[in-house]
Amino acid sequence: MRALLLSCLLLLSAQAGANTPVSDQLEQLKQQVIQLNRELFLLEEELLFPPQTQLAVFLSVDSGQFFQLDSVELILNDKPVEGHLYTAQQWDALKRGAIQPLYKGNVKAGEHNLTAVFVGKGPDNRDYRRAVSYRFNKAEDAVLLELQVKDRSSDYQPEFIVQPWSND
Amino acid sequence: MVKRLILPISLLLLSVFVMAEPVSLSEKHYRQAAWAFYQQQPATALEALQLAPQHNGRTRLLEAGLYLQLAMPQHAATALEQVLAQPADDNAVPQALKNIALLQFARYQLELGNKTAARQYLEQVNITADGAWRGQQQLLSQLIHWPDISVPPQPDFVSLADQPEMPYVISNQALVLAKQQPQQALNWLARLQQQFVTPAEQGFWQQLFSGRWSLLNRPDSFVYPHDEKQALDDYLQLTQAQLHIQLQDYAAADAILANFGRDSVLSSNALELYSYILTEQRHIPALLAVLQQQIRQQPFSNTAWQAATRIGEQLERALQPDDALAAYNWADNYYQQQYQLINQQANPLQVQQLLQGASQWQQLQLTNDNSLYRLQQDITALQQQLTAAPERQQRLSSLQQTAEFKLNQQQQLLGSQLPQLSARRQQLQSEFAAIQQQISALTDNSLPQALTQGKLHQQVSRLQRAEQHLQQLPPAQADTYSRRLTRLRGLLQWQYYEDNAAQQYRLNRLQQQISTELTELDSRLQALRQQGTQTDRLRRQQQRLTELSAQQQQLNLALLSQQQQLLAQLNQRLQQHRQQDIARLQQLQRHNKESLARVMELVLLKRAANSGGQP
Repeated sequence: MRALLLSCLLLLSAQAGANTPVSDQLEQLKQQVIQLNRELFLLEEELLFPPQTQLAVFLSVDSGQFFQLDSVELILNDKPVEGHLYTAQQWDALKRGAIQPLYKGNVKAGEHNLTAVFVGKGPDNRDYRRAVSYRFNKAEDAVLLELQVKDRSSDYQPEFIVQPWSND
Repeated sequence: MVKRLILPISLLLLSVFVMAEPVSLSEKHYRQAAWAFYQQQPATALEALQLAPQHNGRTRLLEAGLYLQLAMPQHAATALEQVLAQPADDNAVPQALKNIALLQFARYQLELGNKTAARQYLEQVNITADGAWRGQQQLLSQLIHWPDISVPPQPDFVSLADQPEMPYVISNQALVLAKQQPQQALNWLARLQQQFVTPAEQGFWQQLFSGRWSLLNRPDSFVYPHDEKQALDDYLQLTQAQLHIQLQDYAAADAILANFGRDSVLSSNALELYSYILTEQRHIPALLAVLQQQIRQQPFSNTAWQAATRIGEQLERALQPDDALAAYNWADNYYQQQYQLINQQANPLQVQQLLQGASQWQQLQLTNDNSLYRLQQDITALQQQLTAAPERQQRLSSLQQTAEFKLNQQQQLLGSQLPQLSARRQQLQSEFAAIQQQISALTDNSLPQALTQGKLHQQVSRLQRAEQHLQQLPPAQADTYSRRLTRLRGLLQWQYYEDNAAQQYRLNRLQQQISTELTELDSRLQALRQQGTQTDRLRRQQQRLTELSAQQQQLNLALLSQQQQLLAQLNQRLQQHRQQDIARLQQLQRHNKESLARVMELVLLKRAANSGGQP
């Protein structure tokens, strides 16, 4: 395929022109759309998820040799609030270091309990299900929590951690 | 080879995404952008990245790649320039990453036909000591400078070893060499076929800047080495065949082309070459089969149209005038059909047809003409933006409703609850002060004051009157009454102290309750006043939302207008293609008719001769 692509490049380059006014206009329009979306996102954050009530949960994987994530369920104060089934592509993205924005919602000020249930394949390709709970106090600042799936080399088992983010 | 290529890419990746502690918020944004990137959402990735509080070389590099994915080369160039302008310190982006970006950017510019820009980016590539990306650099250099490329005395298999581009670089050199020394070029290609192995998997940065998103749609992995290997093999075989033809070694070329894969991406090129050598060798039956195959495989193509008349020509050359006449007749009908089909299928395109599938002729034009393909891509991209507009409008409306609700809520709270709470607070404060006064009075413990009013005062007054009566009594009785009166006075005094303590306790409790209520009221008042200060912010947000809504409508109009302009351009060019095709067909049809007339004359003459000399 690349052979064709590359051999065609010469012909294509002869046919195509450099940046034209039309392509400039098109790029400007695209930039306007990007800016509009960004402003909209910021306003959504301010109006729908203000820091006084915001709870956001993220998920990341470190290495992922001892565990392959199939799904995760989030339970906030004994009520399920989010669930996600992972495709192979998403799992690959997580293994490459991506952070998934898993959940965003609002909670009242005070004590809360978040439980994350991880389901997947553990060492030796065995079915694996593990829950991790985290108590937190919601105050004025937004609560940002990262669920981390790590490999524990001491016993070759996966490890599940809830890591709060600092807001600075 | 694969291992050696993957390793540096993986190391680079690790340096990108390594979970260092503590991880900055910018890094988190960066990795969220990576999530969106892998979800094939470059716009979302860009949004996540641009929201990061700080930017560094790597984020700028990612930004540049994402702009490139979104077909925004000017913004990509700006971001890339920022990366390149950074001083070479510890925080600088590694040269290897810069090289990947520069190479892919050069390639992108080359695809746009902007050779000068491509050359400028390529010149900034600084190959590292490990030689990574040397193959890509050389290949792009060849493409930019083609056909004026340097050819070494011997193919450089050593320095290009482990480079996936090595076969392309060497085969290009062989093609140039073939102009002077075709036999030598054939030797190079033969050696090359023994050298190349399966290409390596693409790394993150290479994918980012490659713009080959379609590959990500496949579920199993990002690259398909087997397909590429097959295509490369076919390409080398085809080049060899071409060189054999140049050397007039038709047998060798025939050996390659006769067994060329029918499902190869290069099969049409192979058929063309094959038909040429069969013509040269006068292998009429095989040639007729090839020409028929060309007609079947390449509809609406010049090759197929030429093949139609060539069938008759070959039969004429083979001295089969009757068959040739039939073939020319068939070709004439074929041209007529093609003419009708093109006119039917070349109707002006609408956006929906572009998305759902144009006619076969239109699809062929879009595939074969790069400028048409780009126009189609731009129209499709604009349609995606237009399709996303209702959702964006809905988000805006929802936010406007939220802002209005919050504002109303605040006004209601401030309008009704604030005066009520203030009045209540004043009342409680008065009550608190009154109680405080009573407590102070009790604490002062002034019996005389207590004795100036109330039941106790009456009882004490009565006691005093009774004591005054004592003097009028005889001494014996007075003594008894005096003791009783003393006991009563003691009793009254005890009752006074008892009542005083109970009252003080009650007042203290009441005061405590009022104090608690006051504290709660104060906090509620403070919260309300704080909300009052947010009103301005909410109003500003509401104003901004109104502006954004207007902006969105203007943007939609601009997008629609741009799309219509591009569509008009596309249709105009398609009409030009149609006219060119029709002209070509007419020319071929004319040529075919001339041949037909010629052969018909021959046939008639021959028949006349056979029937006794009368035409």
